[in-house]
This record gives sequence, C-alpha cells and structure tokens, in this order.
Amino acid sequence: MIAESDASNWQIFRSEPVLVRGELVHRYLDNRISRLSEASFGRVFNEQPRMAEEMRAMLTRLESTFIVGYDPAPIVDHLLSLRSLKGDLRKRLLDAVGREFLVRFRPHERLSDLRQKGGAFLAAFEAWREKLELRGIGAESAPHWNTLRDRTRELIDLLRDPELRTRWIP
Amino acid sequence: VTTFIFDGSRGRDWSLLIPGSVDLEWLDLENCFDLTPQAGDILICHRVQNLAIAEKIREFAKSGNIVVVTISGNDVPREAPTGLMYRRAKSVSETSSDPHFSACFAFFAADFNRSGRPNWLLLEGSPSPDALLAYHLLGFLSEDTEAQFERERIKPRAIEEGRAIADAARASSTFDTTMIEDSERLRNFLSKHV
Repeated sequence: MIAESDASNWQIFRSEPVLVRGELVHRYLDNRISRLSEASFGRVFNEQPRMAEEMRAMLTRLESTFIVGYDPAPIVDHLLSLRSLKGDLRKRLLDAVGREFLVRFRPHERLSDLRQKGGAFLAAFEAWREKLELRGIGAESAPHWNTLRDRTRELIDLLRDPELRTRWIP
Repeated sequence: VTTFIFDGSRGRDWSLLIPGSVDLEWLDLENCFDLTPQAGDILICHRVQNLAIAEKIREFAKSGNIVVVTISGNDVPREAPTGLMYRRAKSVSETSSDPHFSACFAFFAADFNRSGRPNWLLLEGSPSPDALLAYHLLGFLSEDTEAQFERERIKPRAIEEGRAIADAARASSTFDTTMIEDSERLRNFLSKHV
C-alpha cells in the first residue's frame, strides 16, 4: 500500500503542464534553438519542418492545462494521510491551500506572462522562418535569428522557474 | 572507484564518513548532469530537492553504481522519531524549496517498486512523503484545533510509513538497499563496499 501511494503521488506531482514544460524546454528551446548556430538550426528545421507546429501545440497545451495542472488541491485529495479527514475539515484545508495557491503562486499572473512570452516567441519564430524560406540564411535572416534567440531565452527563464518543476506544493 | 559527493554545502562532515583510501570528488548537485560514472563508483546525494536531478540520480543507479540518497539533512539532530519529524516539517514550512524533498522522495520510493533492482541507501529515519506533506498542509490551519489534532495524529504514522518504505526497498533489492540511521553504519557499509 505504501509503494502504491508513493507511485501515485509521483503522478500527481508530474501533472501535464509539468511534463509539457520540461519537454518543450529540453527538446526545442534549449537543445536546439539556444545551442545551435543559425545555420545548424536551419538545417535541422528543414529536415523537421513540423517542429514549429509541435512547439505551437505544446504551448497551447501548456496554457490550457496550466492552472489546473499546478493547483495543489489534488494533493489534498490524494494523500492517504488525509483521506480520513471529515468533510468540514477537508473543505477548510482545501480552502486554505487554494488561498495559498492564489496568493503565493499567482496562477493567473503567471499564465498571462506565459501567454505573452509564448506569443512573442512564436511570432519571432515565424518572422525568422519567413526570411529563411524567402532568402535562406544570411544578412536578412540574422537579425530575426537574434530576436528569436532573445525571445527563446525569455521563455526558458520563465519555464525554468523551480516552482514549475512539479505541481505546486504550498 | 571514486566517490562522488553531491552536496550544496560541499560535503563537509561527509568526509568524516568516507574511508581514507577512497578518491573523493566534490561536486555541486547541479553538476551531476555532466557526470559519466564508472562501474563501482559511489554517489552520495544529500538533500535532493530537484526532480530533474532526481531523475539523473535514478539513471546513475540503473547503471549499477551505488547510490546513497540522504533524504533528511545531516543538520537534523538525531532525536527521537517524533522530534525528527517535527524538525523536518518545520523546515518544510520555512523554506520554499523544501517541499520538493517530499516529491523527490516519492520519486525514489516509487522507483523501488518499479525497478526491483535499486541500488539505493536511505539515510536516517525519513518519514513517508505522503504523511510529511499531509503534516505540512495541515499546518496552514494553525488556528484550527481539529486540524492540529489531525496533525499530531499523523506524526507517528509518518515515521512508521517511512520505515515501511525502506523495508520494502530493502526486500525488493538484489543489492544493499539499506536504511542507515546513523553515521557509524554508513561508515561500515562503505568500508565493506569500497
């Protein structure tokens, strides 16, 4: 029973936005856009043109699951040690945890920031891709690549916040 | 054989526990991503609070190396279990990153069950993550008598469950997955295996 509880606890902590955030940063933002040169990334992109759509889909999933996925309420419902709580006490605890979530995690502000930085990143990506498709890599694409790298760094900084590595624990 | 010690405070008193013949390499936990361990190496991780690092440590263990995971801080005095629980829960509420202890511990403990061949050592009587978190959350109702009663009720259960996790891990391992509750036993363990 103990091990089952711990395994399922693990799944509770690794909610959907947690997993999507990690995959997006690791697979695309960090290992490709941040680390490769423009020429190298251009080659990778030509081989995998669906990358842009995949990143867009990941950002959409991240945004749509963000608040529910970081909400700590399911932890209260899930912990074996709290299963025997009476209805009133459970509700008071859920209310208290919910207040902590709103005040300390500030989910709506974070989501707004995510939308803003995610949108800026996608716009920069599209601007760079347009130049790439029209003229190839060169003097015209370079400033767009630099902008893309800046927007990528800003998005990484947001997504690498330690508080986003698991479902939020008050 | 090299013993890698990952510790934000760079080991400090861990050095007293390692036999003198062992090569020591001191690294910050964040550096574990660059590590390519050799067979027989030993990894000691202290206060793992980052899930990405926890995953890396699991990879390390799967490669057949000895991994020692210290869940509780070595700054926690060796008190009676209830006292230990109290100190740990107190630190959880005081340090924003500390609840991730529990998440990492849950991860390790779940892995015991899945892999069947863990090379883990758990140090010092760690309460179960489930009960530790429950205790921590109930602390948000500090003025609520009923919540505080439940909190007190959870303490002994936390210790009991922590021991059960360690026992299950030990039973499922083909190697020495041992709960070591004091530094003398750790020293003996390392003397035998290094």
